[in-house]
Amino acid sequence: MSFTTDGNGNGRGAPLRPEDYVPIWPMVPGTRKITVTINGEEVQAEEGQTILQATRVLGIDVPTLCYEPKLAPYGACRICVVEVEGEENTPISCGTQIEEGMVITTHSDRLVENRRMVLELIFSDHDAYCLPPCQFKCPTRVDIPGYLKQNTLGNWEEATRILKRSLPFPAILGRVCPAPCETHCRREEVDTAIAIRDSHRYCADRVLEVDAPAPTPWPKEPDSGRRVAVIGSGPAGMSAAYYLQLRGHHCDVYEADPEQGGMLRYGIPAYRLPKEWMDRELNHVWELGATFKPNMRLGRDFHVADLLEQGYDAVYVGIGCYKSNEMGIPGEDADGVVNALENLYNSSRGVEIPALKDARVVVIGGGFTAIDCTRTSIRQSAAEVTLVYRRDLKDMPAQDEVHEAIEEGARVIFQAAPVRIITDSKNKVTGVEFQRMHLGEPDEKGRRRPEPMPGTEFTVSCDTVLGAIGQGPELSWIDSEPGEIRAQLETSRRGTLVSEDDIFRTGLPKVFASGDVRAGATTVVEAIGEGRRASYAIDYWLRGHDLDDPQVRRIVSEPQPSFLTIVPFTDDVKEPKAVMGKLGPEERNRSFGEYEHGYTGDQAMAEAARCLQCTCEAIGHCDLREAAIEYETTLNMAIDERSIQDNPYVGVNHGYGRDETHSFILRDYSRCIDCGRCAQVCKDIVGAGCYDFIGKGFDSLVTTADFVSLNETPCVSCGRCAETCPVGALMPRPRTLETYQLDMSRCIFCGICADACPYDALRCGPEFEFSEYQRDLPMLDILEMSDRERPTR
Amino acid sequence: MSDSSTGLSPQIRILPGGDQRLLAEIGIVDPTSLESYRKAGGYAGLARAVRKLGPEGTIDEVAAAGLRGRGGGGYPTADKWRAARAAPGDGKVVVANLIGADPTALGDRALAEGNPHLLLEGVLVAAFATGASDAIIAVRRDWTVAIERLRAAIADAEAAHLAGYLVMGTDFSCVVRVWEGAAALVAGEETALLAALAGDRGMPVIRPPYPTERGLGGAPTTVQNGETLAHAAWIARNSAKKFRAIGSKEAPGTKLVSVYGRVAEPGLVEVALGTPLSGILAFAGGGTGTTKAVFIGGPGGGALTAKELDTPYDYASLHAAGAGIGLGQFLVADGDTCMVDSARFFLDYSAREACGKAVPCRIGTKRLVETLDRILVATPRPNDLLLLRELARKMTDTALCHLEARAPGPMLTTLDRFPDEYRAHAERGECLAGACRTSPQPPLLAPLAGL
Amino acid sequence: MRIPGAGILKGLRQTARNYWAPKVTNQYPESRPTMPDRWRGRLDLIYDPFGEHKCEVCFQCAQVCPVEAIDMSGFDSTGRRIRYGLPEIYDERQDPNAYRRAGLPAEPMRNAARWDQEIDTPWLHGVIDGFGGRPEALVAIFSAVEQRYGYLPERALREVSERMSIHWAQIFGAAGLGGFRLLPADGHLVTVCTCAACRFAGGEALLEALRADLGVSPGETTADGAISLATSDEVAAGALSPALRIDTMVYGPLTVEQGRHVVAERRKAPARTKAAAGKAS
Repeated sequence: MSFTTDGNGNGRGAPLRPEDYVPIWPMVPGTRKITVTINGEEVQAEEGQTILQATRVLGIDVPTLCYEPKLAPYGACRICVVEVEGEENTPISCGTQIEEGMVITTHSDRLVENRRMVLELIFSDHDAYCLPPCQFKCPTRVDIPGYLKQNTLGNWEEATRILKRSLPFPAILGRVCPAPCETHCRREEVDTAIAIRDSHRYCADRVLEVDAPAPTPWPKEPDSGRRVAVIGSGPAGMSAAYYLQLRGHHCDVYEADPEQGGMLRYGIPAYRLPKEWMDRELNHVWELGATFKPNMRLGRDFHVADLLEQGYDAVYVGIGCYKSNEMGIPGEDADGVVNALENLYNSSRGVEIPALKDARVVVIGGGFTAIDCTRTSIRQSAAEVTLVYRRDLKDMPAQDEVHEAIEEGARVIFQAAPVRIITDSKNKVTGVEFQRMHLGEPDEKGRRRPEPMPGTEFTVSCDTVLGAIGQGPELSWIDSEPGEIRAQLETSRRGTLVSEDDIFRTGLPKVFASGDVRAGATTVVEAIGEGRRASYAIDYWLRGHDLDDPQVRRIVSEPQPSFLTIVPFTDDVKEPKAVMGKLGPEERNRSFGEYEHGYTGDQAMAEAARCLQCTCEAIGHCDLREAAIEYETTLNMAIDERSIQDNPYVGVNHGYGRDETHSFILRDYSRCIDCGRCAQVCKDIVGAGCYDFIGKGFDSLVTTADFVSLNETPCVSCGRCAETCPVGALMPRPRTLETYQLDMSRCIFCGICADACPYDALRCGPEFEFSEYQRDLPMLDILEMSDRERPTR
Repeated sequence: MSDSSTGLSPQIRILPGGDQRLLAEIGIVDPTSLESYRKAGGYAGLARAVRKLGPEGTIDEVAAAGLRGRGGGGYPTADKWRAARAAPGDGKVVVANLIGADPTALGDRALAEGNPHLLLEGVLVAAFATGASDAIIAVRRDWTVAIERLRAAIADAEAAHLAGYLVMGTDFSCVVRVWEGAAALVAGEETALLAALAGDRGMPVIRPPYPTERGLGGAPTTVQNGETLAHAAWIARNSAKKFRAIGSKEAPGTKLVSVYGRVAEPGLVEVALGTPLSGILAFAGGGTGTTKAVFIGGPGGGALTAKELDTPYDYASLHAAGAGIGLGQFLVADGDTCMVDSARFFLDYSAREACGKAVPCRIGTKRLVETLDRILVATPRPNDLLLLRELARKMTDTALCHLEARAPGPMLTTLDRFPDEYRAHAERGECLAGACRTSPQPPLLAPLAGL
Repeated sequence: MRIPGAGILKGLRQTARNYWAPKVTNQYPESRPTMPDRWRGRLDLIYDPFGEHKCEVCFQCAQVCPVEAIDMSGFDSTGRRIRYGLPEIYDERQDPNAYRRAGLPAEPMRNAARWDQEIDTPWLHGVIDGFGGRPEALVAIFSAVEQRYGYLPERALREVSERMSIHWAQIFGAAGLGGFRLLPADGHLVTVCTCAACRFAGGEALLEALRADLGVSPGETTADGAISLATSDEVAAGALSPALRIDTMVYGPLTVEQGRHVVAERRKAPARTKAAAGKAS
């Protein structure tokens, strides 16, 4: 509906920008100009304007929820308050006329507090939510309900397209993601969480299977003529390259290794991620036109300075973490202590590692690398594998896989930390001495800190030690850069490269960095999310926006309000979660092949159908959400810390039902904020008067009389109420036209129908007669006619 | 249903004493008889205004008398009339507000039942002064006696050419009608009353434009409390100088005060503005127990302690004390009254009667009640007492109508004056007044912020 | 004077003038004349940039057509077929119920408790006309209806809406705010005043005592249906506080004992039944 026509019936295609909706002022030519002071600046306004109209014309943003430009100011929402000098209280700007010499402040601490109070009050009785918790918790913010809905219909390609809007590699993540989304699924309140990861693995696999160009989330934009150097072809770099390429910027991807994938290829064993399958999906980046430059190591083969000299408009550093942390215990240099990453790197290339064969192996650490090392060692036919972690199972990042490792024959010891590595006279490892740990007070992250218990030392004898206690980025290349660049690239105390939050810009204006190199070793999904967000910042920068502009920062940072979860989903029928088939431990012990089979099509559809679709349809155009983000009303009655209530006004709230009886307008009273816009529009513009304030006091609500269905009211299905609704309480439901018949024996060519159309879908065309029709043929199918002679000029 | 001695409904009891001016004729004048009223000097004021003073002169006279609105706002009546007179537009209207938003305020009802002609005369004087050709007396729908008598009075006056067309042989015409309004707190709000008069749901409308510029049907409208109009009639009859004889300098004249609560003789008394509160209490025979506090101004007012009883009863002093004159409600609380619970009662009343339009009022008052509920049973959240003040301040800041702006008044004033009671409730669940049946709770570990 | 042949010449002159004059016939549709912008030609349906019809099947055009020349149909998101209807089924088109307007069977949603009450339509028309049908008289009309039926029956409200041409939602909204009863009360309606005056004069104890006596909370009806208990701020008791109202009668000032006695007495008296209310004048 947000498209204009060129008068020939063809849409011009350019979506209307918000500023196009600004009411045109002056309405009366020749209105007297008056001078007022707004936010300390003297500006011209026109007599008769309200403060809100004046600020809108001047481009000053004053939030409002109940202001409908077509109607008289209403003053129900009270968030458009401004400060006027000489007034004791804060008058609302939509109802106050601007006067000569007024001194107006539109943003001050007091106003922010007042507006926030109103918003928090609204939220305390707003039984709704914007993003579902799964989407909120996913670092890539992928539209989970959206793709699951397509999955239920078996639209695998469309589902993949939705996924690729913010997650370019759904098949890869479908295998390696730790699925933070699933731990926050609301379906948990009914039975068990949806298998979100396995579902997107399935639909992305179906798309990869077919030999056709990969679906893109939106058409690739025309070439912008800008070039970006992306250093690193790991998850972060490839994700950044994917979205930059879609935006029309050409990317050269530099990779130190001969093949693409970075940690995906060299850090994740093939039994979890088959490499040929991974390549298929990563190749989508090259399909979009990016260039791959292998065997180019930063600091060895080229420098950032070279890239800048070569005329790249931006450089993106996504080199990941390749340096294993040292354990810092005696004996670490002994023969038999193997670098965990190197071990993974080699074994994923299919190299047999002699140090592991028939050896007794101790793996130290609890992360994904440690588990991967453990399971790789088993597959490298180690005689005995012991995994030692200093905390408990529930603190382990890779806890899901521990059971699988145990099934495969690994031994796991919790709450023990290495003290020293025992060596023989030839400096060969014979064992590791451990000390028991007990868990102390929780730190600020809620993880309990392990503390050593002296006197509980024990020894595990072994031949090989794999230390996998974390990685850091390799930043020695900075030293080889020229001085001025070296001076501006800053490293943090943790040994990571520093770049600004949200916009990912380093000290050098053209150089951006995100992913593991910035955040330290995290998960693949974090890296992909960071890569995408960095690509957006780079895109904004390449398009000439100032990244220091708070407006741009706000867009780039993708802020999310989090809302009260007050929606108990307990009435739903319980359905079990579909579980993927996998190989038994005996078979997978010996093989590097993928051990999980994935869903069947029916399973995937059934699993997707379990989704409660707990998302708001109005999320893109909700004024309340926008205001909530702007005024930082984060109402953390949040999902992980359920007892904390940041909204001080939380109290009883209404849980109204949802009215889906009307075929054109969907009503969700719970989202209603009682602004009264629909009631006014319906009464004063449409003349149907379907809505009004019903009830009294706290229980009053703008709805139909006695909450009846809209079918019972004189509703004319014009959709204007849904159009004016600032939130998602009223939404048009799509309808499709089947027949459109005009009775020629009656038509008087008055044109009222075209005037009345709220969607500009009908017009009195320039053709001035129906030469081929006769008046005595009563019904004329305009639909059929317009399909036949579609205007092409 | 009327009392034989005064002709009033039994709900209204007029206390002896006080500075009786408007009430003086009640019981003497037969409310159903025009003759009786004229004999007592009735309609002389109208005659003086119409024949001698002229519209401007009438306004000047009211200005000289220093009459201010008796509906709570205390806006100078003459200023309002002048604005309405100066406003361009035809078909100006005078609306007499006898909705009596708070049912405990009896003044308007007593006037309408006991001396309807006085009210009618006031309406006509106002209509003459503002140039209105229409007048509406908006009466609460369940005051059936008042409605009946006002209708009869209008009919009588029209027959005697005192109202209607060509009043007293001059070219001044004013058609007066009685309108029945809803029985609700918000219905008495000026703009809500006008909205209801237009046939809409009676919800406040944003100001400006003020009704004196654009009111009923787009015409300049003067909305005036019934008592104010009666005072205007009195001024027209007796001159501004006499009006100023009693009352304070800033606020001359008298005010009808409804005294109720823990007093020996609850009822209606007319006192000169500036009378100390203790004097008003004395007219009602004093408190039945040890008077602890007085709530002045109903749900939009506030509480004063027994120590402040020498405060003069006028706009400025009460406003400074955090209360308000309201519709003349004067509630006396004794030692057995819990102040927290009383504040909760008034807030709850405001919350239940909210029209639902403005968000801070619809949800905010409810949240204040919930917060007080938590305090009453000693399960407060850590910042609850701070929250009360914060929310109250912000609500006043963003208010749509004065009902909303003043709703937290009883809570704020008791919070200021009786912090001990709040603290005892919040921390121990103990009611210092012994009125609330809450079980004592173990004391809180951390002291509460905000007191 | 008649000149022979003059008529022929006159005719030939006209022919000659037109023969040499520029031709105005256009070869439509090959060449098209420029039409004024506001030329009301043939109706066209407009496409959006994706090649889809912009029409949302809202029936607005069919609704406004003064000659009922338009009929249209489509499908909604649930796959339900919706149709505006042929002009021949004129009644259906005028029906306010969208289901029936679309030619589908539909049961109206009515609140049975409110709808069952038969009303005296001529009487109601008389009341409305007595106020001149002016919208400002709404509260007074509600008052009269409530006086007679004890609450506002839905049929009466619908009648008011229709006769006064006020939207049904507005009627309902105004009634809700005005403190009117929208549902009938069974038996006698005992309303305990909760205004500030009554409360501070001991109204709470009275309410507690009645609650204990009757065994019901405000808003409920006793098991035998004889008494409905309610509370209100709007009894307007004034000097009678603490007070209670039974049906329309206000009692006060009452001690707790007196209050219980009054209610017990009234309980014996027959309550106004729905049928009686319909007949009473």
